[in-house]
Amino acid sequence: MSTQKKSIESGHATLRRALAVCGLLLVGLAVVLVLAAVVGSQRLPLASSLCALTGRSDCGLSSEQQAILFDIRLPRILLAGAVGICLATAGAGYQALLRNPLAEPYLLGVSNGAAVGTMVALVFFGTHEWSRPVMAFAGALAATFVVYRLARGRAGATPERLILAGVIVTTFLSSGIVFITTLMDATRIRSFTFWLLGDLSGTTSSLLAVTFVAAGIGVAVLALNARSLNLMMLGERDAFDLGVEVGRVRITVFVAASLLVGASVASSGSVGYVGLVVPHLVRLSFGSDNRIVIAASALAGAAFVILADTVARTIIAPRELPVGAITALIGAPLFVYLLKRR
Amino acid sequence: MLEARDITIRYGQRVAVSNVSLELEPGRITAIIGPNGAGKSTMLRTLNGGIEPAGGVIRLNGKPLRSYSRRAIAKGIAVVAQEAELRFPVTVFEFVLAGRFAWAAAGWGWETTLDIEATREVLRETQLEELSSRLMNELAGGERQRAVLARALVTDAGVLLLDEPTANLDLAHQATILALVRKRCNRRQTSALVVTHDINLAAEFSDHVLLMKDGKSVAFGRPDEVLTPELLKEVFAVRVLVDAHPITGVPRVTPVHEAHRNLQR
Repeated sequence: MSTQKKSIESGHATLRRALAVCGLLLVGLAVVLVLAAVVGSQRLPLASSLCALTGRSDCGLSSEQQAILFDIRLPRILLAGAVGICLATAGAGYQALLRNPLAEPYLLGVSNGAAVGTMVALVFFGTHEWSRPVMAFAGALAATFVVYRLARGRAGATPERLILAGVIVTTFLSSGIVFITTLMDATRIRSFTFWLLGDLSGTTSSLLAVTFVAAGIGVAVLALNARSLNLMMLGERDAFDLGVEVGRVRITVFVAASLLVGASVASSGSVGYVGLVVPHLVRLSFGSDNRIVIAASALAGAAFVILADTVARTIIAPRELPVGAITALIGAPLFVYLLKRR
Repeated sequence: MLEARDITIRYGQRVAVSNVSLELEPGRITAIIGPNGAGKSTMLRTLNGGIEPAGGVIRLNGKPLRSYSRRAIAKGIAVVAQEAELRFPVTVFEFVLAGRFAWAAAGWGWETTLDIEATREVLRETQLEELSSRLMNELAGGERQRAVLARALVTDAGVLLLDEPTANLDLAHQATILALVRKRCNRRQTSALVVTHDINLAAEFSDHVLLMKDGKSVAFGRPDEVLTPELLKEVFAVRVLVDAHPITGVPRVTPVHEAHRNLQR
C-alpha cells in the first residue's frame, strides 16, 4: 500500500519538477525583462517603468522616456526573447536528435543556410517582406539535410564528423554570402555585416510577429516529440526497437528546428552559440529529460539573449555591439570546454 | 508467438540469409549459433522489422509483422542489442523507464504510475534497485548490461531477442544475464532468441539451437541433437570434442586445435 502511494507520487514527480523549473525560469525571465527595459544609454526610473509596463499611463514618465520604453526597448527585448526561444530550443532539438551535445544551429551551418536564404530574398524579392522568413526557412532546411547527409558515415554520425560537416557547410555558404554581398550597394554592406553577426536593432512589427508565431509552432512540435527524443538520444537503433518511428521523428524535428532557426535568422541574423550554451546549462541544472530541457531552454534562451543584448547595447554606449559578438564570447569557450571534456 | 517462414534477406546483390525458418515457442529459449557472417544478427534484426526481408513472412501472434505499428511491435518484441554509446547523462532509472515508451497512448506525454511501478519491479528483478539513481556511464560493464536487459524486460514483451547479450562480460555476469532471461521465460511464458558465439552457454541455457552457416539453416533441434562433432565441424571447420557436462549433463563442446597439438608435440 505504502509503496503504491509512493509510486503514484513519483509518477507525477517529473511533471511537477518540470512545472517548478518553468515557474522558476519564468520569474528569472521577468526580472531580466524589466532590467533590460530600464538599463541602456538612457537609464529609466525603475518604479515608473514597472508601472508603465503594466499598461497605466499616469506613471510619471516623460513622453521621451515613454517612447524609449515602448517604441525602442520593448520591441527589441521581445525580439531578443523570441530569438532566444528559437535558437535555444532548436539547439536542444538538434542535440537530442543527432546525439551530439555540440550540435548547434550556428556551428552546423544551419544559421548560414538561413542567412543565404534571407539574402536571396532581400536581393531578389526585396519588396516582399514575408519572403525573408520563408526563404530563411528553406535555406535552414536545405543546410540541415546537407549537414546530416555529410555527417552520416557507415558507422553513423560521430560528433566530430558532424562538426566537420558543419564547418564545410558553413564555409561553403559563407562564400555564397560574400558573393551576394558584392551584388549590393556599398551603403547596405555595413548594416549587412552587422546583421550577419546578429543584430536585433532593425526589426519590424510584422517580422516580430512572424518570429513569435514560428517560435510557438516550433517549440510546440519539439515538445510533442520530446519523449521520442529522449529515446533517440540513447541511440537511433535502440529508439527504433523501443517503438519510436525514427524516420518520422527525424523529419519532424529537422523541419521544426529549421523553422525556428529560419525565423530567428530572418529577423536578426546569425546569433551564434545560444543553442549550445542554453541547453547545456539547462541539462546541467535539471537533467537530460527533453520534456524539461525544451521548455526550460525556451525560457532560459529568451532570458539569455535579452541579457546578452542588454550588455551589447550598454557596454560601449552610446555605440553598440552586435549581440552575436556577446553570445560568441560566452559560447566559444564553453564549446572548447565541452570538446575537451569528452 | 513469433514465427518466421522462409526468410530471405538481401543486401543489394548479396544474399545474407536464404530460406531460413524459425518458430519461437512460449517459455522456450532458442539460440542461433554460427560463424561470423553466417547471418545470425541479420536474422535477429529482421525479426522485429529492423530489416525488411526480400522474401518470406514473419508472424507475431498469428498476424503478419507488417500489419503492426512500430509501437505495437515494440510492445510484443523486445531487443537487447549491442549497446550504443551514451553521450548524455542518463540515470539507470530513466534508462530503464525508456522501455515503457511503447505503452504510452501516444508518442508524447508523461509516464504513468503503471510505468513507474513496472520499472521499479524490473529493477528489483535485475537487482539494480540500489543503482537506480546512478548515471549509466558510472556503471561497470556487467551492471550496464543488466540495465540494458532490464529495459527490454520492462516492455513486458512476449518475445525477447538478444544479440550477443553476454559479449564482453565475465563468467559470473554471463550466467546472471542468461539466468534472468531463463527466469523471465519460465515465469511469463516469454519466448527468447539468443544470438551467441558461446556454444557452451547456448548448450546450458537454450531449449533449441539453430545452427547457421553462410546465411543458411544447417540444423535445428535440441542442443544434444544439434551440437554434435559432425555438425559443428561442418559449420565451424574446426574439430571439436563433445562430451556431457559432468554436473548438468548438457553437451560440452571443446575445440581441438590442430595447431595447438602441433605446438605441444
